[in-house]
Amino acid sequence: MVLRHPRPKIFLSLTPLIDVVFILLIFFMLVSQFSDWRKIELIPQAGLSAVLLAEEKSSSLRLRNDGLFVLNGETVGELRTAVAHLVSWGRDEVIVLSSEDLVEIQRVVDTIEALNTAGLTKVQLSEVQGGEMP
Amino acid sequence: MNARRVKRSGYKPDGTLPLINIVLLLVLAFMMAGTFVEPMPTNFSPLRSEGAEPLRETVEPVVLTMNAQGIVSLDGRNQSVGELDSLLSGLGRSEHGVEVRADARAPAVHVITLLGSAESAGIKDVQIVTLGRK
Repeated sequence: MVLRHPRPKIFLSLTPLIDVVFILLIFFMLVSQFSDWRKIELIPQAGLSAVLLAEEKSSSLRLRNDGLFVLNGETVGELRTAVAHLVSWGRDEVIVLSSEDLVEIQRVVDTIEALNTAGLTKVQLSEVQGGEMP
Repeated sequence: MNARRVKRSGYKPDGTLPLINIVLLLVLAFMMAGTFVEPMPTNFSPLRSEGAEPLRETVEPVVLTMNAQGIVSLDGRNQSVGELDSLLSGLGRSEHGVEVRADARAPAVHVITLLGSAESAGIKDVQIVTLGRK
């Protein structure tokens, strides 16, 4: 007569699984980012040759260190005024944007944003003398 | 009757299973929705804008970071002018694009010079990227 021993009960511990899952969660929380990087639409600097610029309507807008703007050689106090002039000249205008040495890039981006909001989307950044990188 | 059967078989419903399910769902959410954080210099405050367009996918864009002093780094390593020139000319012969993530306080002339150098090296897709305003 064969006696059947009852099969021993196996208790599966879930603790290591929980540990691993928590470690995975912490890992992904630390290495993930949800920041939404966006791009600024610009005309490439080499995209418009001198001849093309001469053919197209173009204006130059220069950002001065003291917070003022120079629009086609004339000093303008506020960005709003410069944008209003540019809009009155037409929205097909190519705006060549340059800045002086101490101007921060955030101010240039704000200016581009204001121009784009006003419908002036053809913006080209222009290098200025003294713009050597450290 | 069911309760009696449960008691006899020795099965106890485990209260940790819903917890594991939720944590696994969180892990999946982080894996799918998040992107891996790229190294940023300390004290980095990214450019902010509202109206910029979503980033377009390019072939593994090379991310160049510029700090507030205008120093360019790649993968957390500062690049000298010579290193940067050879990097850009190498990228110009490939299909890679370049994303410039500049500190908001970086001198605009340095950013513009970097963009111009990248374009002169033959890189077709050069973008300034920003984050949305908080």
